[in-house]
Amino acid sequence: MTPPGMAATRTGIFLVAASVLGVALVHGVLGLPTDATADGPYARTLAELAIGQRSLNTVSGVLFDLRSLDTLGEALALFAAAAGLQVVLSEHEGEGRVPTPRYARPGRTAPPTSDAVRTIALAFVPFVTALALVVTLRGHLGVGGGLQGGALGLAALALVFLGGRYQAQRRLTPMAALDAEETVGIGGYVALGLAGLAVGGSLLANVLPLGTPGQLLSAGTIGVLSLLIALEARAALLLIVIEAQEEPFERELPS
Amino acid sequence: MSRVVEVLPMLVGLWLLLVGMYGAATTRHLVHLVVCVSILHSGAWLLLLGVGHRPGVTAPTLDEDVGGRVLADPVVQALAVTDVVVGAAVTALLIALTFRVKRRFGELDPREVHVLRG
Amino acid sequence: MVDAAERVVPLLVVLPIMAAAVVRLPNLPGRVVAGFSIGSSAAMAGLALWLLPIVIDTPVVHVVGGWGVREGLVVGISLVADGLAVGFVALTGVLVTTGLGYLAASHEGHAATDVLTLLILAAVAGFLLAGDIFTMFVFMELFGIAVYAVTAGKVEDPAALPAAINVAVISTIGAVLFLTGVGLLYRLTGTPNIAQSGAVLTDTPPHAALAVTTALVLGGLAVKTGLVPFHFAHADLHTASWSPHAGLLGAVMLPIGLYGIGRLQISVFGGVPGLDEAVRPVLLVAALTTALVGGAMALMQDQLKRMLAFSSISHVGIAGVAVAFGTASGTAAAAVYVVGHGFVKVGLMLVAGVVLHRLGTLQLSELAGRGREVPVAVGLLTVGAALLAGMPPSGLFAGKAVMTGAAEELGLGWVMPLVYLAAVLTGAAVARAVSHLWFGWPVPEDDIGIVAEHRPEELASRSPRVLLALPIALLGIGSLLPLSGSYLAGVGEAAAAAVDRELYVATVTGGPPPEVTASPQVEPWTATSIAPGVAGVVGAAVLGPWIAARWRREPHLLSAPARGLRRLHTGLVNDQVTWLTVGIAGWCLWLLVTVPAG
Repeated sequence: MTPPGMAATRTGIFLVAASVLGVALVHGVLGLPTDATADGPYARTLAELAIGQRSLNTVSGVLFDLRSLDTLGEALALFAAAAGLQVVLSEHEGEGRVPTPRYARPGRTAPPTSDAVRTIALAFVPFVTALALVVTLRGHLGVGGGLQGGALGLAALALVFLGGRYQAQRRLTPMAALDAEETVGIGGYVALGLAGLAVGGSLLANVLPLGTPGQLLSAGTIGVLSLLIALEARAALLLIVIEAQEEPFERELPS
Repeated sequence: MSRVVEVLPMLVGLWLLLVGMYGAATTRHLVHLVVCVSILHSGAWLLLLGVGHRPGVTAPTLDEDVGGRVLADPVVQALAVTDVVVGAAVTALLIALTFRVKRRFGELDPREVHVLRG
Repeated sequence: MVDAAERVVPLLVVLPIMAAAVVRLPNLPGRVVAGFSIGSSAAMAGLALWLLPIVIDTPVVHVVGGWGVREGLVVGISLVADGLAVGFVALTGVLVTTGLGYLAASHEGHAATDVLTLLILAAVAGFLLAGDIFTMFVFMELFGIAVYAVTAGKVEDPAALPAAINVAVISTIGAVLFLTGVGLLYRLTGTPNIAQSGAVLTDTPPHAALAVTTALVLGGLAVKTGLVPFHFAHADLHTASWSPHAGLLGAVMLPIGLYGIGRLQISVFGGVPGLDEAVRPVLLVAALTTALVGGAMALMQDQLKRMLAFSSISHVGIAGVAVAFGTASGTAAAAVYVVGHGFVKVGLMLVAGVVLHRLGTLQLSELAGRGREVPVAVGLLTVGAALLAGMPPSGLFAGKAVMTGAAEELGLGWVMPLVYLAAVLTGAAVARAVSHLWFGWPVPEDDIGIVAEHRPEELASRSPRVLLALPIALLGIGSLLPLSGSYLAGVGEAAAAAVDRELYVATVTGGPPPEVTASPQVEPWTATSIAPGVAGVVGAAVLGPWIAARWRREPHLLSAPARGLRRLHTGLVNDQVTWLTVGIAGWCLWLLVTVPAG
């Protein structure tokens, strides 16, 4: 146990160190050259090349073609978090975790949800699902992309939960299917990358036909990779959320 | 004036970074700690976007007519998206660990759960 | 050959990822998971070992997506396979394969442990091969997440939870500081490519923004490396992790931070006049302090894994001293040292795992005298103590011998006695543990060190005796590898290429290759090197048992500074964040003051 005086000393030390750090950081930012990178040759070239790959959204072009390895790494971060979380939140002896929370047990209703919330939430489910698809599939055409689409896919099911249909949400997302979806997402991304290596000679080379700019089927592998990332992100985020939902917080609520 | 507009996002990003660190250095609640980490993480995203921003640039997509304006740097935006996902993964794991600390120790004060010492 | 090699480079990253995706499939039988993981990691290690002799004199570049050089700009992500990076990848592959083998044989861990371990392997390979600072960051974050997820998955150990939380916080803050530096660097150079930013910065006058950028980039990596004062969370994580992972963390995870520091310092910032001279001292002081603090802390530990954890921190500090030299011979010394330490440390951690399986505890006070039940393990610990102290011909001896020459070249001969002292402390720590284990000398109650106990349920019956074969093999390789002349010559060539910024830039940007620089002579067997090596072993053999017999029976003999040092290791996240802030502020301040204004 830390004596009370030590906490004050520590805060004092922190404030002194943080002031030094803050001054140094501000000094660094103010000392930057004034010409921004937006005009720089690297940013301009990448934007031009992304458009050359028929990706009108240059960010998607960068994410899924020019710098697609970074995107794989980032999807793997979610993949790792979901795998870790499943172990971390599994049940263990002596911790008194109720296997299923009350609202998940058969015959139980959810924590009280007002009719207004329930109706509106459920009414929005189809629209959000459609939006998730559009955002995912149009990542190379306009604002959107696989990650955002995956997050919206989660949002659609979160609305089902919000509408008080926890059982329905769980039936729509069996854990084993989500695990498999993760394998498809990451495995597919890597498989397409290896196809690029075999056909085009470099990992993740865009070897599919590029097509006409502005069409759904264009930009080669950009759209496919975006879709695979959407699957991975959706599955990983859902696994994370489901594990959290299983946590029996309502033990602490008055019954 | 345009210089202020140019560096302001970066300065705000630095502020978030330092505030998050202050929170992490003084927190007495693990959930608060997780929030602090999220805040300092978002400071870095803001700084990144500031690095690629310049007064007058437009969103780096061509689905609408940009009217000859310069596109914002797509590279830092892609990196920010990448790191947002990393941040989500970190937050999810930290929250899960916090759940387990609550389950195991019945406490969320970091002073009560530091097991390894000396 | 080079063409085939170029296509193999990305497989080093992708193969473990593919394996992780397959192993993630639900309801696979445990044997399939273990077999597939071990097979993939062994295959990856094999590819790296095949690649190593090809790339050692001519680095090979793979451009992801085919996005190579356009109008003089490197537009995509390059993976740069040079001798140092591929050698390090091969080391990681071999050690991870052993670790997975241990997990499978000892029935520790879960399917997710294998998934995460494969991701660690992929992330390390990605980080080491990345020729792009953004990619470096992404893979650094990935291995951070995988490391604390894997530790947090060790749910039966109460210490694992707070340790994982603390390291997640510290490592995230370190990553954010690094990312801030990366953002500023991108603004300064206009490219995330390491070689190209190095080329842009070459011969530019230094200024304040560049000094802060350097401090953030290298300081952020120092957080990952666990240099003082960033080591607190790492020590706890190693203590709490699975035995093979505890070994891997010390053998690979901390040293790759050093690799990052060395790579970026040389290839990005090395060409700025005056900057190099400013960075070297702060790195040298931090690394030397780490070596000594880690050694002293190891000596005072009453739990075997925690003792080895601080020993890792100390040895990474020693390798850091060699990295701080920044010369070809210093880099060669660091490489030899890291390889030697890697095998020995994973070996010793696996021995600790076996002790835990068979005796149910790692607390020295409870183990006193029980060593006679596990004679082979105690024998291996004794050998390990001698190796950590620097017994010839181990890599830990050879590394320090080469380092002595490198230090004298720079007129820094005074650091070597301190380096030897740090190594003796870590050897003495293990020798002290052996004394307690074998002679049964009591370990007194201690009011400072409170370490969680973890006693896995009846594992002893399920843990096969063959488990000890793995640490025997690892300790054997670690001690005998420097006897191979071609190994030492290869390290010399790889080190010469790694510190050659012009060669690196030319390789990545496709310019004309510069003249080949002479490789340093990597020759540990000199008249002046064997004596301190032997003296170190004798010192550890005397100091450890002496302390076990005397010091700990009369705890008040533990001097006030030593007690104070232990008290600083509170395991409290608030303290660790404060230390981190102090450390990074120190890096920034030092560089702002010492970098000449342009």
